[in-house]
Amino acid sequence: MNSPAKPMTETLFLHEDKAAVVPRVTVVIPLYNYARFITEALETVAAQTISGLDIMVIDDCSADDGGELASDWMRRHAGRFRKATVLRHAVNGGLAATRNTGFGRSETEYIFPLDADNLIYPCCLEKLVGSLAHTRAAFAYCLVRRFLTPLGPVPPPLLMHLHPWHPETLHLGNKIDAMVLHRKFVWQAAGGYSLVMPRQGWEDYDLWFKIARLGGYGLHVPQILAQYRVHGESMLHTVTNEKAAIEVLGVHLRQTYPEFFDRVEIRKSKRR
Amino acid sequence: MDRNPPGLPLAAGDLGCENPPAMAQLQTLLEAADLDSGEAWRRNEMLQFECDEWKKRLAAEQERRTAMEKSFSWWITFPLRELARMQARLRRSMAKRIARLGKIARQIAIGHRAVDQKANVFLSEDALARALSSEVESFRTKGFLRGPDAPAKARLRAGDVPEIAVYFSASGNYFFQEIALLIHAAFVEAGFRSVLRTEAYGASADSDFHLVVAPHEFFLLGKGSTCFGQSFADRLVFLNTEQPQTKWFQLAKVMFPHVRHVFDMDRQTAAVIRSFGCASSHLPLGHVENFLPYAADADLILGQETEALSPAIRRWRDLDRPLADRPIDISFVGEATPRRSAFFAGLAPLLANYESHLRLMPAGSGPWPARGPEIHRRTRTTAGLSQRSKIVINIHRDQEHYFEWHRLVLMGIWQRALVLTETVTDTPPFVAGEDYIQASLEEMPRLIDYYLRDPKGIQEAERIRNSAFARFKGSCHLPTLMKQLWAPIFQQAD
Repeated sequence: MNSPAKPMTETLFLHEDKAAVVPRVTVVIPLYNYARFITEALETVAAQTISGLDIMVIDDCSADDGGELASDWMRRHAGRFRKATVLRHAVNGGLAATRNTGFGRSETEYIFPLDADNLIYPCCLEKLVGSLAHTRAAFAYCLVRRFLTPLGPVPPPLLMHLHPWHPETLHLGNKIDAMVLHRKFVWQAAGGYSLVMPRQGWEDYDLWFKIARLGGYGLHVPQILAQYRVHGESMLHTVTNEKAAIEVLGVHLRQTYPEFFDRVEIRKSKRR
Repeated sequence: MDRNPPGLPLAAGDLGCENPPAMAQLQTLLEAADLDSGEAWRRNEMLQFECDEWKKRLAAEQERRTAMEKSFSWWITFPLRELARMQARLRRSMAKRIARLGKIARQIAIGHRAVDQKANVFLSEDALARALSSEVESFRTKGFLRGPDAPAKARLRAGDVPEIAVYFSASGNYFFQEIALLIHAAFVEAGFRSVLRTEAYGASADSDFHLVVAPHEFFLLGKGSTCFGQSFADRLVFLNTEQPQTKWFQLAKVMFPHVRHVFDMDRQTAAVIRSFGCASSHLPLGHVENFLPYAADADLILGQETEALSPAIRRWRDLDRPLADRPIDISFVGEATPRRSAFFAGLAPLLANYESHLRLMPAGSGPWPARGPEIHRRTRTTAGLSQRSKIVINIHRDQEHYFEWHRLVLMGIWQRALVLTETVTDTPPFVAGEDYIQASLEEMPRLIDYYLRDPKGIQEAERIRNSAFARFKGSCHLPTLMKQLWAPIFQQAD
């Protein structure tokens, strides 16, 4: 098994209630130059209806003061969490490395990666944990509403994550965003988010292939529990959907996971 | 009977065809056939505009290619690379177009060998155009009856119990199969002999009448058109399930004049069909005692759609318990059209406070077939979800205020849930406000809160759902309705 890489980090803030029982979920928030969004995202985490909760913000060497803002907010709301942490990477390691840092340091059974520009509804984690806990699924994902900043007409689709999990159609494109509730051991077994991708932006897509290869599957929770912010600087616009990146990443995935792209193999597995 | 009935015309775009020569050819054909409404003209103008745009693009490509062929560089190195690029681009665009092509049009194209299924591309645009136009044209002239003829059969005499074969498409949507099952059960309870069939088994030679559910699927998706010969026409009855504004209705419409009778589960659509000069009547899909797929004394089947629900919810049963005890607050199962997506996205902050179950199928994902192990599972799952829901919500797929009988009555009222729907056309015996709640989209959030949280609303919901079910059971007893509606058809055949 490949062990996920661990970049050098420094701790900006740490609060831990050692007497409290370890909760079931950690919310991991990778942060890179999203100082203007981070507080709003943190507020939605604090408003969760689930009682015990850990939170971890990993500042990936932002050029703005996002890390300090997150630390200030944590100081004021530390009592809401059993463990609240703000870490900073010594160098910019990219989204995959940032998420791996958060996942690696979390102590809970479940982990929910929340991008710093996205939001979740108050009952999101409670419902996702409630659904995932009684199944053998590797992760659970809910319907996601897209919204625009500043508010305006959202380009379609208005709702994401409509598709149920289907490994045979994984090769057709990424239908699942990173905002899902993971079981930590599945992430470990899959070797974490890949750091060897030729371009950034499809780390989550790559992870679905790894999980599918292990025989894991995603649990579709048909409730709208999260919000995806559409804005000019989101990774989806700046990196993920850049034409050149799509081509390079497509080739990479095809070479790395040929069994999902080879139609003959798919037909054979269907027959089996 | 062979003359095309007046009414809503078929447009080329309705077939999902997006390649310009095919559209142009189809358009000419369809314009010559029947165009008499303003809406159709408007649609055709839009199609014409799109066709012109495509023609311009193709002409520009052609010019570019011609210029390239004449240039000096063509003969050196550039042309081979450029040609390869163009071919790759064309292949990609063809693959995209075929992916967007409607399932039925795609089946026609495959049937006419106009598609290379392995490479997922059209063999040629001309071949596709020929396939689509010849199929539509052949249906106008009884082309859907190209199977073996019926064996000679004694005429029905008074007192004879007729046998009716009920057909549905094996590759079609699961809810049409569900309707076929319901009708079959009603025939049996009414004392008729009835058999269920798909196109794979051909026509039932011993049956006196042949009822095809959702003819647009049966004759177009698989090998339905080779089931019946022309001699069957006199004993062939359709149950249309499509709304008049849809492309599927337009396809089925060309077949209506050739059969004995057309039933429709919507009262107003039956009137539309009568206006074409076809014999048609409203067949309200009513109640059948002990209809197994809707049985309420079973656990919810564990599957992809239900795995997220807790075991306690899956095990929950008993329709007689108060509505407020049900574990799911709001449920919806349907296609995620842009209109529905916009509504549910706007409602998200409110829905997050409730236990909702929104099974929104991605638009254009094709039929939801029920085959092999899927048989009955989807129906039982959808009915089971409604049986555990306080509110079954109905949002129209588009601007038409069609009374979605299947969702409102079969999945809502029958399953004893409160039906909250966007405004629908009046459909007796049900009365808005007494048997279901109708409202505009803007009023929905307030009403959801009222019927789920307000004690008065909870009481009212309980009263409405009970009243609706009592009316449904009393006025829509399907076996009785079947006897009444089929009596004239049997008499004509005597």
